[in-house]
Amino acid sequence: MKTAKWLTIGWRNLKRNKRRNLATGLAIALSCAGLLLISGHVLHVENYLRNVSIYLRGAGHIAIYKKEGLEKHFIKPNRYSLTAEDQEKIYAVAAKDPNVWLITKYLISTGLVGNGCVSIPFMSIGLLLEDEIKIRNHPAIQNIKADFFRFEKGQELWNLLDFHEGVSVGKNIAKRLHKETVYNPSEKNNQNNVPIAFDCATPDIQKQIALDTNVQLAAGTFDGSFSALDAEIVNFVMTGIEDRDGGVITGHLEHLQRLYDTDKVTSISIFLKEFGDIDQEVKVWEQRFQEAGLDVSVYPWNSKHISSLYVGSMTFLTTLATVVAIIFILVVFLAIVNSTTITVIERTREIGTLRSIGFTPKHIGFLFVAENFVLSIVSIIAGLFLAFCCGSFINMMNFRYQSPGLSVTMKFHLITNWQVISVVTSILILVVSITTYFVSTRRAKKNTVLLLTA
Amino acid sequence: MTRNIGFIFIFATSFFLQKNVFAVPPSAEELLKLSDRSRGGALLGLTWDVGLETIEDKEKMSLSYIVKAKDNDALAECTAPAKKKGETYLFNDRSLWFYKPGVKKPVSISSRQKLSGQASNGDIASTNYARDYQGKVVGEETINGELTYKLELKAKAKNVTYDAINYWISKERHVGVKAEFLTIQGKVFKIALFEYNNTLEVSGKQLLFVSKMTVTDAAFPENITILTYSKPFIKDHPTSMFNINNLIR
Repeated sequence: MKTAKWLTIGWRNLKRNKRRNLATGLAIALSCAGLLLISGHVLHVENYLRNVSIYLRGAGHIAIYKKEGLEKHFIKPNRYSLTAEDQEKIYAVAAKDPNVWLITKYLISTGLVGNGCVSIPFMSIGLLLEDEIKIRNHPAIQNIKADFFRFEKGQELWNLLDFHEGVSVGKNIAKRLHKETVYNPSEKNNQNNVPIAFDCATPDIQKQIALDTNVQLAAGTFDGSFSALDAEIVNFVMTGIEDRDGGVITGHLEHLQRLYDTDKVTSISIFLKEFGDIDQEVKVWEQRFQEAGLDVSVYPWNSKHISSLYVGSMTFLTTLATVVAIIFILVVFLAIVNSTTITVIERTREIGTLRSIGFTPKHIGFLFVAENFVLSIVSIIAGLFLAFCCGSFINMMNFRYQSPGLSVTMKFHLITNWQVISVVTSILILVVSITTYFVSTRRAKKNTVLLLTA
Repeated sequence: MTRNIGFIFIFATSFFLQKNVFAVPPSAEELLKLSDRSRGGALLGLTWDVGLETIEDKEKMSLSYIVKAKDNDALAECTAPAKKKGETYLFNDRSLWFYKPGVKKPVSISSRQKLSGQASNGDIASTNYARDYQGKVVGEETINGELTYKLELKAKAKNVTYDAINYWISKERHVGVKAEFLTIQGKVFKIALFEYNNTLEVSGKQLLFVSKMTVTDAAFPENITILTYSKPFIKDHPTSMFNINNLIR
């Protein structure tokens, strides 16, 4: 029998018990919509956190550290940082690959930042501002960058490219240091009322400090001694990334290299134009660096060592989504078992008649599968429509929530793509068809006489 | 006669016991005060030079300071190498400031902050363990052939250089000869040995003064820092020298 005929019979049979099929169809439609909505959320979060990790945290698609440098650069920075020679070689290797969009370097270390009276610890990030401008203008983050790097006061560091003493200070550091004023070169006289040295015992010391844009950065140098230098606060920033709002100071790479008395950097990030299998990419780059005589470790952007925020959040979210998806599929499975069992019992004599005229249990199974296949197609179309309406409504409402690891609220947004729709549709059709086939053939296998006299 | 001999024996024995076995050792605080004097503590005006030689991960580094101390204050100014010349550490009681020429303001730092290699900032200045630590004599041991009291010191405040120290003070010379510096969990992380080949004349008496402190990393004994103390002399310093606002010249 042709497929079209099977489906026509299926469609006709569907009409025989409208109320039951409507209930089963609703279960399939709601599960379909539920699966699409939850996968839509996972897709959105994955996309969001991937871009945060690659572009806003500066991991790039590929991050290069000195061998064991990722684990040990804070303890022994001199040994576990990339030397000037390493940097030169890495840049030379990257220059040969036309798929490289950008290569940039970072110096990450620690120290103390003081206001002349008290000091607090900070983590420093030294970067190349020219590269940072390109990264922040990358099309991939245009929709999300408004959530990040919001200034309470001040302006972007790259607006003052030649002012190397400028630093971007996390909001929490500014608060702890009682700083309220930012450096603005267009107001050259704004520091005239600030004394050079503070008498920390005076009652109005906090007011004096609040007007002062100057801070001192002090740190152990890479060669093992101690050093300090001046910096001017250019902005108070909310990075939006929890571990960076607490105590991070960002500045010109060159300025921070002077603080640590080094020309070394902690890591180099490579941003690719296109990438497929990132693990394969890493192997290729490892091979290239090895051939260049470099003793380095190469990490993909989604390594748990580089992007713990991404890996942690996605592991949690996918586990949660999987559990919810299993529940939805279970609902469909039970609905089909229930409705098919009742239908089969109701049609026992009909099955007996069909068996007596030559239909095998397999044929009878296909009849029921065709019926539920048509039902599932109709329900899935309804489910897609429902998911589209709900998704559009949710996206329109602009709900926001706090995601772990981020200090900004994240938009509750749902997205989807044809791959996800295909997977969800296929899973549902498979579950419906297989379940129907086994439930119906089980009954059809009984003795024909018993079926006819039931 | 026998009775007299017995009486004399009992008298002699009790005298001997009183003198040697039941002799009361000095208190921990007393021992610390005495030993601190030989490391520059609690003296009214003192100056000395200290050189630091660090060998860490097979790399060598040298720094020299001139240290001026008075009571609980000290000022350590770097004299070499040239690029570090003028960098100053000011110890105001337990507060510590770092100043580098060219920087607008001094930076408040911790005495625990690593100065170079195994040496902490607190190691170059005068030592005042009697003020900073609660001590307890826990036994007697021989260190490098010298009888010592072993003391366990616990920090009285959070802003002192170390949380706890095992300290061995010579019974005869009353100077600290060895120290084990402990983490807050009680694990030894640095070991220091002291030598006293310098002398000072204090109130007409000769006082031994530390000449060398060898600090070794407990986990990696090849990492070592040697502090060599030289040219100690008594000199009163004006109190203004230790005023933070006078650092910015």
